[in-house]
Amino acid sequence: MMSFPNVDGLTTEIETLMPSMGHGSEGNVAPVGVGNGRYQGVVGLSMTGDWEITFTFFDASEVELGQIVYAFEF
Amino acid sequence: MPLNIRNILLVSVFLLLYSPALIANEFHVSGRVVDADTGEPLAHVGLMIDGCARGTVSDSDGKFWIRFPAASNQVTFSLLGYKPLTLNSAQLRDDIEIALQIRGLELEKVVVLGESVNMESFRFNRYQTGISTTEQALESVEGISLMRRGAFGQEPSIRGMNGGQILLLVDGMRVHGACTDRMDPATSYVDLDALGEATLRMGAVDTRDGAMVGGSINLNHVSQPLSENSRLDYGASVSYADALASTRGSAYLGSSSSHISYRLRAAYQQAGNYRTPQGTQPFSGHEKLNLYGTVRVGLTQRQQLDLLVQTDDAWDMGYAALPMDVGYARFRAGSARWSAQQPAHWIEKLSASLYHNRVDHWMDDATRTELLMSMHMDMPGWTRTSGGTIESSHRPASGWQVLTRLEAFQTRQFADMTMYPDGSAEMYLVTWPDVQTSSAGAWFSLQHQRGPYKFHGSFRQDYVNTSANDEQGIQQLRLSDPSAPDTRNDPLTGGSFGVDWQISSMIETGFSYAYAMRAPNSTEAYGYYLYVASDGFLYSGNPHIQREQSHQWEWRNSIRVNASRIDVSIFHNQFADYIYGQIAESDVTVPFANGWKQYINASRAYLQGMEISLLQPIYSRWLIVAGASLQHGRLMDEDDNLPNLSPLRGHMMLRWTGLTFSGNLRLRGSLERDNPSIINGENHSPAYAVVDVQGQWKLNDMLVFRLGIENLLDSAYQEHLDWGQAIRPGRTFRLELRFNASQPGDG
Repeated sequence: MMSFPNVDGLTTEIETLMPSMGHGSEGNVAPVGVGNGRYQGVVGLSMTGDWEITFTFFDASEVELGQIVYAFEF
Repeated sequence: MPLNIRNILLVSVFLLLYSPALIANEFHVSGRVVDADTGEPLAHVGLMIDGCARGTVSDSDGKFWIRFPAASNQVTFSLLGYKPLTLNSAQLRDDIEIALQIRGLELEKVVVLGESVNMESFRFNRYQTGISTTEQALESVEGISLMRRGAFGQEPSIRGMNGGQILLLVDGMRVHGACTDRMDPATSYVDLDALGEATLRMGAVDTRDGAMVGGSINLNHVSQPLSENSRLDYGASVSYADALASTRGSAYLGSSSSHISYRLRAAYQQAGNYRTPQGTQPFSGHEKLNLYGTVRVGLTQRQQLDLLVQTDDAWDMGYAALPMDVGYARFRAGSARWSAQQPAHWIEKLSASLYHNRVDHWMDDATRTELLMSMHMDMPGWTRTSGGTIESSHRPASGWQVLTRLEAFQTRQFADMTMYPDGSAEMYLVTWPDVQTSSAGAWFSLQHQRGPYKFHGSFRQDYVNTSANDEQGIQQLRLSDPSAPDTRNDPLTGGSFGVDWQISSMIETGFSYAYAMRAPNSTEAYGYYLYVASDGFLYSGNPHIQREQSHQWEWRNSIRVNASRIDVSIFHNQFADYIYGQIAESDVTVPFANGWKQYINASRAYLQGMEISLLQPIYSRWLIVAGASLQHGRLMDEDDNLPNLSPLRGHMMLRWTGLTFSGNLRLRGSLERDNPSIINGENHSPAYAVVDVQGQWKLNDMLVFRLGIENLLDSAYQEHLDWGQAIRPGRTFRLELRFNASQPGDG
């Protein structure tokens, strides 16, 4: 059985994108750890519609651990 | 109900057959017109009878002879450089001598657009200078240029200043266009034939129309005068312009009595895609219906009440220079004005007005196939404005005049944008976040004539409160600027002084200084994601932006020799906190735009230029009217030129005036523009020259036929301020038939 322990101490980057417009948005703040594996940040969405947010995670030695793309309608 | 040539001919035949029946009950008057100071006879004085197309001009000895329908009761004498004089028929007799007073240097220019009886001057009279549209009439004034995005709704620029720097008013009302791309200036919501005159104020010496730095244009409708002898006025016009594929028709009905009068007018026009020397210009047609009605009530001998209702509906307007068109633009306005005159009283004139107007505008790309970002989008907007004014005129002592104008108004402006991508959710954003502007202001002016000197001074104070009320709109602005305030207060102070000196009977000179400020407009303070096609940037407002200020110096001169006149004005404007769109750093790259711009204040900018005009009679029936202007300006912060300036640009018209026929040959053109504004995406644009001819026949007392050929040589040209690649129409034949009649009423 797999286990999913909380991971703290990562750094993150986020990038927003509206695929239909070909551009992202301003006002984004990369999530920072708040403990128990939770990270808190801000995305600025300049209009309603379909958005994608790309999260990139780095460990303490700035090695990229992977990306997650979260697509949703705002 | 499109008009076509066949209908026009049918109406013409009908009018020709019908009109002789109306000619009855007339008398005639002869006399001579002279200069009030010198007694010299004045040639070329225009005589216009109130309410009908009939008129004449004085000959080289100043003599005139005119037939007068009994129902008309006023005639106006006008000549460039002289104050117009209106007389009642009761004051007229044979061999009368009419003395006209010289008009000195003036800060305002009055362009006569319609069948107004107030023929203020020759040079700015549309019927005498062969002009067919409001835009052409404005453009014929030195210093006025038009920014053209399509065949419809061209935006005026005064001495290179436009947008938030100038004011456009309709009947003294503030009217705010509802298009974030400035495709619907207030001048687009009126009909040429419904207008009597346009008052143009250049620069900020006379700020009675409101706080501004660049100037103002007030378009006034024709009103129906009260008349001792009750009468009925009516008329109609039809016209056709071939290269514009345009037909238009209008009709009016007016009734006057001693205590009440009214006037109703309707005008319809339809234009297809216009033809250029290089082929048909797609997306350049439109349709428009304009209605207005006015009622004047004589409350007492000296007091009257004017009520005015107007609507303008335009639809399917193509904008050739833009990626989008306009589905509809609707204007609704109502106003009431009370006015009183008390000659010799310490309050000579007093008036108060209340008004409300609303504009609804719908921009879209529904008929386009080449789409920005391959998707359709809608960009609607609306404005609502209510306000009031109180104006007075006093003569506290001989040689002194005091004018005041108080005004208050409130405007709401909202615009948004919806985009419809294929296969994903529609996108929505707010481009004007329900901006509410409340403004109150007072203007005072003092004039004093002392011998050959006329001193004038004015002071203006305004208080402007602006708030953005749409939550989504505010949040959008705060993405890049978390501290962006949603309200702002702008106290605005301005003033001017000057002196005019009549050096001799031939030469007059005047100097003036003005200091003016303006608040940013809704786009500059709170606009968001506004794509400007001329430079390809996305513009955002800046709620922190400061008021724009301007110091202005102007030197005006007038030289008069007999009936010839030359006027020269030279101006220099020094700006502080000049508002412009600066390229903004952003991590967000936009594939369809060149980048982002944000409105910001420049520390230093200047604008200077000149206007010259000439009127030269030759023999008795020939006349040369000419004029030229140029502007030059620098934005020092960017080491760039200011935008929307014209290099040397001018016109020269040769006119022949006869009793039944008059004609004009006009040459207009400009040198090349070699100092474009690079940051605004302007280019070097080539010189051009265009020839127009026009003839006018008075078929009888009620019918006038006009034939004009605009752009006779079929030149392919653009004016410098035109947007995009769309060139102006090629050779255009324009036919117009006008019918005006007046009959005694039942009373």
